[in-house]
Amino acid sequence: MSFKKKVGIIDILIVLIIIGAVFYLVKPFKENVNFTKNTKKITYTFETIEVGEEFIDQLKAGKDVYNSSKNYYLGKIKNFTVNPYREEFENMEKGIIELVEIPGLYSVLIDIEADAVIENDVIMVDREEIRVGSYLPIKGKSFASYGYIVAIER
Amino acid sequence: MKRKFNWIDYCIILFVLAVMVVLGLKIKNISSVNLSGDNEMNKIKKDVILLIHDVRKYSVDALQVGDNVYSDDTNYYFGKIKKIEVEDSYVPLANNKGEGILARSPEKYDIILTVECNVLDRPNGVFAEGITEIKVNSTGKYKTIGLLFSAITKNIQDIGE
Repeated sequence: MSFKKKVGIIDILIVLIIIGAVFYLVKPFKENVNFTKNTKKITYTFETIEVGEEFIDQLKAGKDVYNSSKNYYLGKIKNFTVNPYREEFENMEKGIIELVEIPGLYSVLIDIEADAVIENDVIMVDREEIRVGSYLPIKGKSFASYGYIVAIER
Repeated sequence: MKRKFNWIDYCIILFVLAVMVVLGLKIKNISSVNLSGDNEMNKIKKDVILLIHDVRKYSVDALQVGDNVYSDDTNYYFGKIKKIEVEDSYVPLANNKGEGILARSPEKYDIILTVECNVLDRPNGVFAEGITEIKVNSTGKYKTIGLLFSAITKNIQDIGE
């Protein structure tokens, strides 16, 4: 008794769906393989605010930085600048808005150096699009924070 | 042995047909704008005025005349920056007398962008490049090579107005 199964239309449709799903999943990784071509060194500045001294103590030039939710590699810390954290305060007596320093809290500007692909008006570091105004949750070996990209030097 | 179709087979066929129909409609909507000769003839160049309100100098420095602007919602090309004007930003504030005043927002600016767009005028709306809808007073998310920003559409005007 032979159990030769004929391939029906349903089987063909299922195979096509699986091929499409595999192609859809593999495509981002395949694009990443071409990453080493046409890369250019850029330095961009990331700002995190309302952090304490314990966070600043963890920062060191040369440490790697990653996107903490997607695990994309964002580059290496080149330099960082610490400023007092200031918040807006409405001075209703004078009718003005003032920036007042909050003691014990800081705003840190971190210069990150990375290899980027610049194509079609997009600056990509790993799979992360780098633009001023982009929100990023970051992590390093012993620190994590979140903030915005505020400057790009290329 | 002849294989009979059962209800699972019919469900799979219907699902695949539905996916193909949805994809086909999406492709047809986009290509009918790009490929149709009639639609191409109806596109005219207009200046769209965008206001980026209350941003820091970092955002001002990240924009340049000539930058291409893309819609962050549709990912399609929107237009080209023709002019950038920067003004001090003011925000409403109530003083201790209960009067509403406009107070200078410290270290923040308003950026007025003039973006030259190819605009398609359809009965149901105005579309940049035939894809991204433009409505005065609506807020949209846009991006250039250097900046990701939200902006309010202030005006759609003829070139040179």
